[in-house]
Amino acid sequence: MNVQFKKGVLTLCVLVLTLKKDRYGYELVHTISEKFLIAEGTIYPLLRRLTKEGYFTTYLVESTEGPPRKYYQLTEVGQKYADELIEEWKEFSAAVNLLIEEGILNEQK
Amino acid sequence: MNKNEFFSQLKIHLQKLPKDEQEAAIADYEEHFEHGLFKGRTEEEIAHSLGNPKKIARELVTEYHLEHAEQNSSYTSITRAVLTSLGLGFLNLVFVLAPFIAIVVVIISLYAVSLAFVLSPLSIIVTLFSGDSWQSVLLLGFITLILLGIGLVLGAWNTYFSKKFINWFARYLKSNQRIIRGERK
Repeated sequence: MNVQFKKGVLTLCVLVLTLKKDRYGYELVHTISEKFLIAEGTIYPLLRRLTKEGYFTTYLVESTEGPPRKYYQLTEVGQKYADELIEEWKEFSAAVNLLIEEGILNEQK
Repeated sequence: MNKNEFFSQLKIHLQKLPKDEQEAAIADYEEHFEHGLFKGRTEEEIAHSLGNPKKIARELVTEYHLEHAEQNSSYTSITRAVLTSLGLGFLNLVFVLAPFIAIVVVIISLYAVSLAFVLSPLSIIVTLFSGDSWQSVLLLGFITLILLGIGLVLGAWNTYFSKKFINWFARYLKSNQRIIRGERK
């Protein structure tokens, strides 16, 4: 997949994964990289930026199972931002899908 | 690449950041390694899937400078932000460097004009020795005093304008970054 495109989508993925529950860094990276191939290291700068911009707050939890975990929690602003991005994504992907379908139809004619 | 090699590479390329920023970034990756090792992956596997530490560092440095330029608008931090943005792609040269240089040149020339206006009354000293009539010296005196006034106003306005420009440019850089990343807004 195209690098720039993937980078933009990563923001959306990270926000979506934290909508229902707080997640820690490794968990986020692991969940995303199971779905598609990424340079896993790029998620952390992204998380730092989103945190600085006030979309996330973080807290550290000592785990009985394994190393301590830094959890990322969506703030109210983050929630709103996520909703916006999801809407934008839906419009965008619907439009692209339509173009693809039309493209295939024209090919068949 | 093992864990030690990954971190020594990362640290070398993070040196431009303040100590606390470096430590925070490194802590994230330390944690990542610990979790990966705990899950039974090897150091080499983890380092490989994290990607090139130099690229990671460059991303962190860019994010930091952009943030910084927006917070305190000083010429040095904005220049640094411009330079790191340039590192992200040659294409950007046209969109970032060209307007930046153009406006900086305008600001500098406006300052030059206002300085020339402010200093213009000094020309009276020269005319005093040239044997011109006292009327023409007086006229020159009034004209140059008006210029002095204009120069002061222009200087003040220019300072205000350049501050606005720095703030605006920091925001522009940020949106430029978003475009590069492929986000809208």
